Amino acid sequence: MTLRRALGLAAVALVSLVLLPASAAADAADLLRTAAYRAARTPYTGEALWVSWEGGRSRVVRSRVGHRVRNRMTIRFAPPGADDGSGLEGPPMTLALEPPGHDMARLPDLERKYEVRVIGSEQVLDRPCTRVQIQRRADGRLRERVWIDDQSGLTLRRQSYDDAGRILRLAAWVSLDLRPRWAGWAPDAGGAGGREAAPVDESGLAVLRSAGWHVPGRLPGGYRPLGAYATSSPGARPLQVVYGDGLYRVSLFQQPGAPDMDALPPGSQPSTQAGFQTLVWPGAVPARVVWQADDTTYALVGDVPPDELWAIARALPGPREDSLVDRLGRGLRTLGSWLSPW
Amino acid sequence: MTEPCGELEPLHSAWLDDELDAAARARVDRHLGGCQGCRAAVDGLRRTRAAVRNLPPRRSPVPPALPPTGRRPAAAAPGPAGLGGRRPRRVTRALAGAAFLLGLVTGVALAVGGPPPEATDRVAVPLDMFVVHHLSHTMDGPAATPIVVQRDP
Repeated sequence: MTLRRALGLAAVALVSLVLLPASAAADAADLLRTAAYRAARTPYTGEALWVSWEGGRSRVVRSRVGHRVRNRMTIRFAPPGADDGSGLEGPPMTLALEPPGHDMARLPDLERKYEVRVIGSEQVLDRPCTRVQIQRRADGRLRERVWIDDQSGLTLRRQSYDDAGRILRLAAWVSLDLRPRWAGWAPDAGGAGGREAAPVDESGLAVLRSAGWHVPGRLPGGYRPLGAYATSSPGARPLQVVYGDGLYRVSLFQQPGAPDMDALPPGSQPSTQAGFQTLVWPGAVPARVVWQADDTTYALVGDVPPDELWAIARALPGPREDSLVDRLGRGLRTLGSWLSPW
Repeated sequence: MTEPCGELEPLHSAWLDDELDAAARARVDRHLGGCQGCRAAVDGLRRTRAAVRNLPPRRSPVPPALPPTGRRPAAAAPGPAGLGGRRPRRVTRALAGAAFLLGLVTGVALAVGGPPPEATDRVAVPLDMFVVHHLSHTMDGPAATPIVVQRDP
């Protein structure tokens, strides 16, 4: 009897040892999903801080943020020049920022690529928080640290890291009021306006592929297509394909023709990190890369870590070097056109 | 009685070179002892040889343009019997002509090929709008609106 009880206890202990880490990981991922859910459905006002580091320089944006919950999520913000953008330097630029937690755990396959773990408790804004760490499974590299409010389930702070373990971005609440009073707030900012996007299904993508559009079924880093859209913006009708790896997302825009350099936003710099000539906007959030290849203009926009962003760019069509054979072919065609009576 | 001069005259050169056997040499010796004319002829032959040996060595006429190996020009090489060396020369000329023509066409083609033509269509790249499009499909909620901080110039 005693032996049987001992064996039973040992079996329970063994099962607990095997199941607990998995259960803890599942709990951590659930915490992230809950945080994203709560961020979309909890009204609040507060002041958020965004800091990004790049090339030894930091950019700081501090802005009031209010969130009203109606039929759809609406984020409102204080106009620039009031109490935000205090640390911005350099050329004019549009920064699209998301409150901490709004873009987390958006995909069911987060844990396919990442290991999500609870690594402790901490106080943020005098509120008890659970600290969650996200690491890439393949090499154990730290990608994110997230502080989740135990009471509200909201993300209060988030830090992103680059391939070398250096902090890349920080988004954190400086103050947060979960019982917001809306007096003094401007009307809803509404959407960005002027944008249209028609979803493209698989059969539509097949047609586009056969017509020469470049829509890879997979990108380096395990990024898979999540959706494709025929978008329409003033002066442009690009195809947008959104890719995700469970945590980050990147959009590939492509449109026939060469980029009109005069119409590009200021602040661009040339870069060859993709192995060919591209234009980048240092300090932009999210990151942006533009280049031309085969009479098509490509643009990548996303919050993907730099090492993965460049790996993705390298996997896409790049400008071809003009070889002697190319030049000879052009010359022979020209000579042929001179000699041909037609 | 000595032998006739005409029979022994062809042996004079060999006699001078000491190339005759003993019997032939005895015959010539006997004749020269009794024939003053043949002795004079042998003396003349001996003087001529001595004069030739004292001449300076002769140089071969080598064109200064050729390498010092003294290799003959290819055109001077004897051709196969019966061909007279004419056909290879014609083939070589034809090949050289074809190579020249090919080089000429290639050179002209490269010259007129020029740099790659630039794409004629210029398109606007509204990156800020791309960012909004990106966020509208990546943030939570059916129609999330990102915080956009626009910095005017």
